[in-house]
Amino acid sequence: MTKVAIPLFGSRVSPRFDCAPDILIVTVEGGKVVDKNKFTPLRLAPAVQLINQLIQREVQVVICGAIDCFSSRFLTQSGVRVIPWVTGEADEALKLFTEGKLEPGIILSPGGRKRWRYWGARGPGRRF
Amino acid sequence: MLREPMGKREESQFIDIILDSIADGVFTVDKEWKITSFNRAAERITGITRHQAIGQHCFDVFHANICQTACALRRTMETGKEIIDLPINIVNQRGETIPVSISTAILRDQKGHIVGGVETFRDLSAIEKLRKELSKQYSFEDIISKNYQIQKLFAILPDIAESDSTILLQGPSGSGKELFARAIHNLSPRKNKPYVIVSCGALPDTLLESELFGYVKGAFTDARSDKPGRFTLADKGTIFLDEVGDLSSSMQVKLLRVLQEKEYQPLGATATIKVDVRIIAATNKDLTELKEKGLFREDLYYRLNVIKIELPPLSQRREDIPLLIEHFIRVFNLEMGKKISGVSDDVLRLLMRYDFPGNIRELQNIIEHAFVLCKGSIIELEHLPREVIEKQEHLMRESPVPYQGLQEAEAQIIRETLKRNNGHRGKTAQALGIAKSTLWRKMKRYKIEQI
Repeated sequence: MTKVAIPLFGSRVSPRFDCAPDILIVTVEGGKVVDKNKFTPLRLAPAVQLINQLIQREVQVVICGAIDCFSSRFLTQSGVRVIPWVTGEADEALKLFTEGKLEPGIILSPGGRKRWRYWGARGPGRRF
Repeated sequence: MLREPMGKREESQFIDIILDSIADGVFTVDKEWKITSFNRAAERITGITRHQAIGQHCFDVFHANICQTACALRRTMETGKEIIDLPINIVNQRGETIPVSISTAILRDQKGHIVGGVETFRDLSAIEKLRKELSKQYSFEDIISKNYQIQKLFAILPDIAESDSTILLQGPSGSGKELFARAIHNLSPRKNKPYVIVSCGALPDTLLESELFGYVKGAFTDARSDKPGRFTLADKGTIFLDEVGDLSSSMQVKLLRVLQEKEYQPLGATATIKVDVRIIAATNKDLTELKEKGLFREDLYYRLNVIKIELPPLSQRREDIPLLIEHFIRVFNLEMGKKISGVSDDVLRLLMRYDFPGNIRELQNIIEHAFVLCKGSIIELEHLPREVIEKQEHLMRESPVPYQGLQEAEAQIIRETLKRNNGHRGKTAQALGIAKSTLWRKMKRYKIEQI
């Protein structure tokens, strides 16, 4: 059983981790979604507060858009796996995650998948 | 020579060249919020290439803190009003949070139909860094000020702290006496020893005496065990005696003895206790005046007044108000978990004119009050305590509005003189000591109609 948090912007993955109006919490078991609920983080609260809330809810994976290094490191050091720079519909991202195919930096658009080149990316995409 | 009209492709290349020559980041979006152009500075600031950005939603590229909740471009598209220099922050592709200021405008086609929007943004990292450096320059321990008088104090405070002399801090309540006392202790060789605060005005004599000097078992009915006095607790450290001007004459004698002999006698004890304490006394009263009126012992006055530090009221160091507002906003943001970025111009204008009878403590309370009520990112007038606004409105009614600038002042004076002279230009010019033609020119420039 894995608990996944996806900061939301409407139905999309929030472009920014710390400014999402809603957080979707999904429980995934055996490649299937078994539970889904949302919570609203305190508005204008600093990222640390959101991270603490996620840790309290025993979240193991965070799927998000842009995330600052500090928050990313904080989450990773707290044992939370971060899949950052994901762009597109949250459901699509979740589907890929359950299939074990969600990669950091992915752009899920109707025209096909592309990748962001971002600071934490491995391989050739590392520098930009 | 006439130039051939440009083709569509050439025109777009030409626009790209212009955009790339601009130092600010610029991107344009269509009505679906998809990026249609992205200049070189935008690439540099966000770390995203033009190739990657074009066709993506602006929020997926720009990653600003306001994208999801208060998109500036959306506001502009909805209201038609441009936004200029709004301070926000973005997360770039390196995962760094970059402070930027943004400006927005609507893009229309030749027929005037809205086709999208344009957003320009300026990297404020360097300015922010400078601002931080500057604020370092204006702070000392926990004291923040750029006031000339206080800056002078900053310079001598380490020397004062180094010495073991008794200090008298004089200033109105809320002017930061306790902060100075703590700074002196922290800078002194006694910094790792106790720092004890006693508010002399808060306790009746008998209680204060047992607080300061302690008592031994059996000294009075309820004295079931020995109680060390604050002086003993502060041994080898510093004792801060607040509101020393409120001490009764009998307590003044007892304090004088500690100062002179460096020893005291706990209540009911037969032996004296030696103490090594540095004394910092503070008062919001004028001790010289109290001494002259015979309410404060002259010998104690001279014992306390070895080094005197006078703290000005906040109304005499108005230049510190913006710095202090910024400081309290930072503190309360951390304390209350909010992200308030500042106060509106109206609030700053009001606070700059307010006379702060409660000094810095009052300013702190005003900001705290505003923090509780403010749900957005900027503190507005409606978030301030009602009595502050009412008091200020009352003052404004009594005194005319100060002039905004030289030109405004001149225009105002001309208007008033014209009014006094029933609109007679000759008399007005004479009263102002200028020629009629000059008056006419100035009236035209300031758009003053005949009154």
